[in-house]
Amino acid sequence: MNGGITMSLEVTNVSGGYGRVPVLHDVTFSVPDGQVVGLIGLNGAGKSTTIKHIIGLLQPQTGTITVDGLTLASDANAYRGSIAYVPETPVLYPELTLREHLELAMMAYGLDQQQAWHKLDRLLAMFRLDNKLDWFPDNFSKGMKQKVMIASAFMTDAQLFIIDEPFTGLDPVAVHDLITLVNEQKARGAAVLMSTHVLATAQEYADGFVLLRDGQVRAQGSLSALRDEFNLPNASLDDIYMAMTQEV
Amino acid sequence: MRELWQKRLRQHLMAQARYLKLVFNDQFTIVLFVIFGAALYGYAQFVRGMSATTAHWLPYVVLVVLAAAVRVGQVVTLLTDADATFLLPRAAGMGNYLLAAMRYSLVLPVAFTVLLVVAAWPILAATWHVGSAAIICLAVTAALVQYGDLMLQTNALLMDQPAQVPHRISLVVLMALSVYATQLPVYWFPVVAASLMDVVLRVWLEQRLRRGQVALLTAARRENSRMQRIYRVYSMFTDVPGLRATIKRRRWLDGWLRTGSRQQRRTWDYLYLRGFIRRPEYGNLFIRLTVIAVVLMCLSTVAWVSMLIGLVAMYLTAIQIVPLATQYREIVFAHLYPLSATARTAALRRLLFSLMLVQTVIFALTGLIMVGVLAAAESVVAGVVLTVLVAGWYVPRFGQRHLQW
Repeated sequence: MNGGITMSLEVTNVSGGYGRVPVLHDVTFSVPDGQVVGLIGLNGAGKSTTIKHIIGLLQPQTGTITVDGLTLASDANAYRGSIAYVPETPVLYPELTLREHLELAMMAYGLDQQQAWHKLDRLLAMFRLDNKLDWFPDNFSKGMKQKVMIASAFMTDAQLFIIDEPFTGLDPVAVHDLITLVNEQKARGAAVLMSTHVLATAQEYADGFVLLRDGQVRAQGSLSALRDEFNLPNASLDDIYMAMTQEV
Repeated sequence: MRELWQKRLRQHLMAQARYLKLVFNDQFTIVLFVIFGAALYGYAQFVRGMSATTAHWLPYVVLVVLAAAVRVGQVVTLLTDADATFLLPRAAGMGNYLLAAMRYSLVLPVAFTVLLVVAAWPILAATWHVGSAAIICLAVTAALVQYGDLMLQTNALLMDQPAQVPHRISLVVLMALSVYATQLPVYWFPVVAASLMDVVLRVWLEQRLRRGQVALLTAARRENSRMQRIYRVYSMFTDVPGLRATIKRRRWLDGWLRTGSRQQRRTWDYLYLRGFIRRPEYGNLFIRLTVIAVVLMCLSTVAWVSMLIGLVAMYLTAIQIVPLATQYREIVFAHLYPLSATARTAALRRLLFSLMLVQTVIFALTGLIMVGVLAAAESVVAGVVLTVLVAGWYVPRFGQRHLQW
């Protein structure tokens, strides 16, 4: 809890990285329920490393990460079960058909198969995947693979959605559909952390932003809070981003 | 460019040495020695007891095998996809690189074909009365023809090269004629012909390499598929990062696959079963080893020999299927599922348990039909004991070492 608002994700004083060399330095931010937060930064700023720490692929050297009040150490299965993740590069099992990918995800997350397929009917039609259920998605194009990842994540009732560079490779219709899905989850009360370079879209749809620079949180908050922080009234997210990159 | 080749070759040899150490582990080496010894003994017995009819057609089989062996070699270029971008400015000056690559590529195919000639000697001596001088000439010709074939393959890596197939086929014909010539007084002539051919090919290739551009994309694609074939063999023994899976759908099994459990605790079973069925390096291996064991058991009339053949096949199947579970380590979702690490080991244990029991039943039935009740009973007891040992002892230890992520 933070000022009466429930936080789905809380990252507190996290330092960590690959091996002994820390990439993240004392990173602290949170994503409240029912909000979309954009994770913004240059290539190499630490966005993907932050996400890897949250989903549990990397362990923080210091600091804590809680999802819905749970930590990976306290209850790994409940922690993992609360997160739905769409990776930047789609990863698929070469030996599974699209139907089997979805079934596997349902089994792994303990979802009710009937309810999940009910949700999927809409998602598959939305992304024009409904006639490809018996195909091997490993042979799909990058955009189609990304749609499989999105459908697989959004069929769950996760409390936290982590979406890494979601717009890369998607056609404009799919981008629009993804934003619709994100807004639906937001309305349901789920939290969404979205790393992206598409700043205009992020500005339009995100409620808050975390600006990362050299593995540290340079600024965070709503667009107006960022404008105050950078002393740039009426600036767009793009202007603020450029201002951040020019800081020494 | 020669330095680049040497650097890559050093790295390549180091990587291969690491894999070969894993492939030729103590158990596998012992099994190989046993199989090699048995094959040599069987071959010697066969040549001694060959009938007149067999002696008539067998040399022609040798001729075909030796001629086909011309196509066994492939140029090892060690080129990668990235080279199509980064080496593009040097695509016209890679003659030294390719010549060095071709020299290295000669070693294995030449050794292989010469050994094949030596192995064919007893048959050729017993049937066509071929002497040692003719065999030495044949071995030299085989090496020269391999060299010629590799020169043609090297040329095929250049852009705008003429069609290669007729040339390569003519080498196969030359090799076939050379084998036939071993029974004639002019058995030495193919050596002269092959030497002349190699001199002409070498002069021509050097000219082509001076002027020609390397087709980097094609060369990288061929090298990738060559390495994938090698890695596929290694993957039967150990975990090979970066190996692209070749998938066979086996649609006829879809109906049966749909009947499996959909419970959360069976998630890994769902994945492993499909991996086993659709990845040929596992599914085909199971079928191959089972069929070989059944054929060998059909040749045996002794109960304990029959049982031993079955046991060796089951053991080899088990140790080569276990690495299937490590294939999913590179897939991020395998780390994110809300499932305990022990679930992976339990699923692997169930898969192996089922496969080994299927083999036990097949081997017991074979023993029953070919030898009798005793062979069947021995196969059942030994099969069950081995299955329990693998599923109850070996797999949990493997899981502790490789499946705790």
